[in-house]
Amino acid sequence: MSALAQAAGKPAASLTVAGAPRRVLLRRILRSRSLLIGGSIVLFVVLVAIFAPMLAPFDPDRIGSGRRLAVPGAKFLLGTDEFGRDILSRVIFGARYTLYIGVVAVGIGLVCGVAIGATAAYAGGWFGNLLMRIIDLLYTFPDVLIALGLVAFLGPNLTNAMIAVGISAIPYYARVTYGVVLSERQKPYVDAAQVVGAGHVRVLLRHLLPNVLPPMIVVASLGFSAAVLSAAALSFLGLGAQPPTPEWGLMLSTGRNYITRAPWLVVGPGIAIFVTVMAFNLFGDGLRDLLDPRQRQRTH
Amino acid sequence: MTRFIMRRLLAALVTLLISSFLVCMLIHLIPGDPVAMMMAQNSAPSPEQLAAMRHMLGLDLPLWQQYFHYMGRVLTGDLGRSIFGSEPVLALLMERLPNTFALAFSGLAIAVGLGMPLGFLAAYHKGSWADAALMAFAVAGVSVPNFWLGLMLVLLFSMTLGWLPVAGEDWRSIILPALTLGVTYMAIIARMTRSAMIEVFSEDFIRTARAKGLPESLVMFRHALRPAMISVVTIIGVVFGYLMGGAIVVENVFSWNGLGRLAIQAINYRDYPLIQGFILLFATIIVIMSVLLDIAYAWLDPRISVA
Amino acid sequence: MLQASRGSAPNLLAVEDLTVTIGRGVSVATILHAVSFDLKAGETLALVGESGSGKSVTALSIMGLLPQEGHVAGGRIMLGDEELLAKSRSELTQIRGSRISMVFQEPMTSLNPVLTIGRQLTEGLQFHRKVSRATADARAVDLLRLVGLTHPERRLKQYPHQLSGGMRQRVMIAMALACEPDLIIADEPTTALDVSIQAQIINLILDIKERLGAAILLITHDLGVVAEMADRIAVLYAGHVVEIANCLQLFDAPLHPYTEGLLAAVPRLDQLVADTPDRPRLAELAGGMPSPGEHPRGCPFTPRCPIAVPRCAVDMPPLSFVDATHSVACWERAPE
Repeated sequence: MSALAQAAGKPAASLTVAGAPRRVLLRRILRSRSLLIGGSIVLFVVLVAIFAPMLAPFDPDRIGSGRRLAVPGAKFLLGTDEFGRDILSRVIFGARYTLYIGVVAVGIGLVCGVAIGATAAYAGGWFGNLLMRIIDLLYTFPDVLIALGLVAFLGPNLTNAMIAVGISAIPYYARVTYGVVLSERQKPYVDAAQVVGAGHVRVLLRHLLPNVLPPMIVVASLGFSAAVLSAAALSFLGLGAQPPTPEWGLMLSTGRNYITRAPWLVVGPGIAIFVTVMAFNLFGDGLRDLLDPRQRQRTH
Repeated sequence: MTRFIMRRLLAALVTLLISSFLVCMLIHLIPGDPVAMMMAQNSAPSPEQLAAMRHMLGLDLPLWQQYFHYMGRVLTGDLGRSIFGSEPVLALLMERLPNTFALAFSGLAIAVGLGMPLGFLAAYHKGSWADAALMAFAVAGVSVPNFWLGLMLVLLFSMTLGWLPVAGEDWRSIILPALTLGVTYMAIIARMTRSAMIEVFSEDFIRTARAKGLPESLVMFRHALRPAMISVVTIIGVVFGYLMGGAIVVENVFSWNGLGRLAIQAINYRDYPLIQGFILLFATIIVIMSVLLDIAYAWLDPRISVA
Repeated sequence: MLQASRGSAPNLLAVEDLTVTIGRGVSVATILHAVSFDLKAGETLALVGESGSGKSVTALSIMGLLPQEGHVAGGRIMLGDEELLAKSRSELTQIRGSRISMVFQEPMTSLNPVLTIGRQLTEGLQFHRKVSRATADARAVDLLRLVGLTHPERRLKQYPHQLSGGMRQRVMIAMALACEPDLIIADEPTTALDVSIQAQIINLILDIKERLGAAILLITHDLGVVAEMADRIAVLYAGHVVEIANCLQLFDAPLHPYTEGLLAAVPRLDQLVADTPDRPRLAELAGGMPSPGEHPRGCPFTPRCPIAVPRCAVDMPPLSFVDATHSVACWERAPE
């Protein structure tokens, strides 16, 4: 194995993204099926969210757009719900909530996580160790449990759900950041920058950040899908978005009461969550393979 | 080995102490006066009633003493009383615990029992269409919301096919919730097992085993599986916590009378002592499970067990 | 003496025009170009070359253990009068470990960390020779004693992590000897070890060879090891055998400019046998070997060659005999 890898692997291994000509990079993007499929669906969802008012055939909140619990058909492609609202329009507007929740939750998690992880790695010593011990400890608990606990005490509503989901993901971002910064920190250029007299903040921002960024983009993409999933679960449990918000998890929660009579209530929103989450997962996986194949193990 | 286990037990203890501290402090997240919020359901509690409640919860003490007050109670098995129905929290939780365990462990059995062999096969036939299909399935598995998968399974197996009950006392009522829980985590286990196996397959000692002329079955089952099991145990440790989290949601889909359902009811009624007890119990279960898995890990790996 | 011992005895192993490629489709690269050599019973042949020259790939091809991405594109490998490349997977299983065994470069990672030394030593015996557990254990104790490990009974119950690198390599050698094979392939058996232990392992292999009479295919980049152990030497460069000769012939009168360069990199010839920590390495030669992807049309050594003529860049010279035991692939040194 090693002999073959040595023989054939050497020229290929030196092809890092940074060093690769643009044409090679483009070819690799086009060859990565998961990146392409995931990326296009993500783009689609974003466009749907932006142009929701133009795309939606009905007002998502208007009661009695049609008959109550109307079967999917030509007028209502996904049927209507228990108030006669058009489900398709609600699913389309739901994309806005999902992206909003994802961005806010990932934003909270990423900012806090990167700050904690980078500080711990950069400071090192007992302080960095203690910080990471606490993070490791929190990491052993499922994020749903942490989010649930926070929402239970903060009070159940969409804002608190987003905050809770964001906080519950901090350990994840902190751990990845810690690992990446720690390995970057040991590289000579950091010492060199310090010798030249760059301050700590400057070293962190100017030298470490650009190297830490690519893996963080991957992590954020994968974290986005997790955040969407958690937030939808909280809404499904009645702890997130409150009626009449056209949020996908909440729509499933109310729709299940009619599952015997009108199963279409739980099909559309569910597929919407599923496809969106999968798109971000594929996108993140593809991005990871593209940016740093060695990261595969670390962020699984 | 004993030293390894002692160290792990100590770490577990520290974990539990810190999580109990966090759980104790959760009460201060409640916006406004927590005691007033707790008693809001009673029609206008008197100042005396509020003070009594505050004293019972130890909230009239300085912050650092509150924790000792709380731990003092917890260590004697007193998790407080439910604000509604005023039963002891511990009794309420213990009543539901077996149901949650039944669900979680059958889910884990499905996830491990199917996920590991699938991951192994995918790794062995790396690059084949079966491998590609499994990996696609794995991405789908980690992406599907378990509550929606549950609803879809109900729609298919109970309502359309009429094979399985949605709820009830019948033992078959566990099949759908366990399947819902199992399938999602099976995908993760399959994916992680696959990468663990691929790593082991590329090890020098596998080449040595082949160079000895051992038949492929012996190379796989004696030389590859056991080292891979070591990483799979770690995987199960990670997955178990998440599976317990998933159980909270799945219980609510199937009205399964476990801790998760109790927790949501408690949250809806703002039954704070019960929520605190629930989180503490859940954390304890996860910590105990991780210690057990550490022991299994040490037992599997001679580098630890033969010090 | 070496010439006499070769005589006309039948070959134990004959590799003929072995060509191996790696990769598929457009990214296919040839790593072995019609490699040929042979080996008689009890003989030690050293395969010398820089890393990436195809030494290990040759060994793995003989064992039938090329990784998935490798592919034998042509040639034959004969063990006695049996063609190894034509064997089925289960037939190869019968030969590996039984008639040919291999000692790998990395003793630290080549033993299974979760199985006892005893289990790893005896499993080959139990499978190939169908002996009982007790017999196999007794034989394992003998083997461990033979390779010079103390407390052999206790070692059987130990795990690899409880042994030092040198001890592990002794275990690897014991494993290779378990079924008394006709041929032992030793792939850089001393590279990963401390210098002081390297000498011990070399002496051990020499000693065992004397006692058991097995042929050894020694793969190395270390000229010191070659001088001590080999009867004959084959020099490999970028997947081509460029010179084969008796050990003394090659050291005294090398023909290929690459071999000359190798020997010139050695400060003083008589120091080779002495165990100096700064042994000459082939890599000290100026310039670099072409990688398989960028393989030139003619002789791959042309860009580094001091005596290259225009023809060298176009045609690869064949390996041709200059006398009964010495052959070289060079237009200048072995004219047609």
